Amino acid sequence: MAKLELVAKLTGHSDRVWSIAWHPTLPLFATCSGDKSVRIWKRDAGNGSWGCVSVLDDAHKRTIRSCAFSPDGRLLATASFDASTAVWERDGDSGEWECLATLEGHENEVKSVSWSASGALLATCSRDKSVWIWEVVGESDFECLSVLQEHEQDVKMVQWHPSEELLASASYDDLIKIWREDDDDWYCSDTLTGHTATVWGIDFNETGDMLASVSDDRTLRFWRPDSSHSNAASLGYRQDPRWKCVHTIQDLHERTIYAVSWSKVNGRIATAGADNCVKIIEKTRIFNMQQEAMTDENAPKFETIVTLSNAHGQSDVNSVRWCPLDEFGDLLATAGDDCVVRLWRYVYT
Amino acid sequence: MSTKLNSNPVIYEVSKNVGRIRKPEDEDESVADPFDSEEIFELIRHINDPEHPLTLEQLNVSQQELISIDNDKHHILVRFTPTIPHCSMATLIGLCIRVRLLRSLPERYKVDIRVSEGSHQSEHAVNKQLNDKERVAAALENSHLLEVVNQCLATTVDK
Repeated sequence: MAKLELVAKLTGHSDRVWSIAWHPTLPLFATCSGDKSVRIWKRDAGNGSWGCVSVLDDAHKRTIRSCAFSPDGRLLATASFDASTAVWERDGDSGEWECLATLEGHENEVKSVSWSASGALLATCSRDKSVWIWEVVGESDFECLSVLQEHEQDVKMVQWHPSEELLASASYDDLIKIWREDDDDWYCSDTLTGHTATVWGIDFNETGDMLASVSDDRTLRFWRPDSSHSNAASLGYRQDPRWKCVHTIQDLHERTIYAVSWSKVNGRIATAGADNCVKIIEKTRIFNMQQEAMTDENAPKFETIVTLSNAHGQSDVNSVRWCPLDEFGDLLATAGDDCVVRLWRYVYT
Repeated sequence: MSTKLNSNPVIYEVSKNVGRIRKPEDEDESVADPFDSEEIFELIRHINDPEHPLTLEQLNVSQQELISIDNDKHHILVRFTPTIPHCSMATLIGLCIRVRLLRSLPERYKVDIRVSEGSHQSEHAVNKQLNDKERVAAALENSHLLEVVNQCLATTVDK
């Protein structure tokens, strides 16, 4: 039997907690909230307990919706309803975070921020329907490379591919879009249709050959690039693979699913939503002959192995994130409308 | 506002029954006292229309029959009927209802707000916006909008 065991209940935020970002190399994570602050939580190397080590509360005038560490862990970007994105630098000696730059340009609320794997690019998205790509050009200098305006509605989330310069965005227009670069020209290489309501969360698997998405339509969908049906070459088009939905879990949650996290350590998927539940999904180990014969033989199957009800009491769960460190790969952080951040350990007994 | 969208709305007679008739079990502290549609209606019937000095009940925008509750699942569905099918105030009215319930009900209740079926030409868009909590949160950080909502809700405050 698999289950989630509570490791720590972390209080301090005074409004709903919107999202979580793990540090890439340290046992440390950041959370952001409607209270306009970011809190940094760290594991005490001595007794192993978790506690708040910093509060970043002087850069944004409104809700901080999303936060993300750069791949080298030196920078933290925060996206706010005040239409700006701030970039913070960690002082190696004091461990304190200082605001380096504020990126402005979006017309209204910034909903999400993500760093590319190389750390050279930053993406932001907004209710103004656009996705912006920023380049890190200097120590504290960021330049907008591209403004992508193909979504028809509020863009909820951006997420870079784990190794390539490929960006995915999810929107209130029920679509997911894939963005690529060709000679400094960013373009939409694919539009993923299937969800029937707002797409709130997306995450790639470790290798980046699959994408998971969750939605207000209460499904979890899995997508994979499929280059086999491409006839683009003969027509002179770009030969980008089309992403195809290879598996859908219907009615996974009882209400809107807000978040999905695909562990890069052990491949487990966590989801959370407005039904107060956190779920863990794994690739099916049981081989079902009949089911297998019915569908695409390459399509993977998934099953729910843990359902944790009322993870944040009777509140919505807004974010789930697996720890990216090998040593702590079984740790899952969750954030809720109850202003609390919880840390869980996946255990198998 | 100089020109009103619906300058001459039909005014409905409100229920004479002011407040709730207390039943014996209401006084009994040992009995579980779940919410019913009457109580939810009581919370929203006095909300003022954004355009007219009339309540949502007087304009027949809000009706008790359009409220449903599942107490086991802590779920409440409130439907309302805009006065005209192209009412541009529909999202604002829905937002007022949402804020009123947000401030009055225990946190465990999940509230869905929708326009009643076929009552608005942008039914899907209005419903989608009213039930997107991120957009509701952003709207309520807009001080001008919050002031308008508070004015509509001023008539609901218990005296």
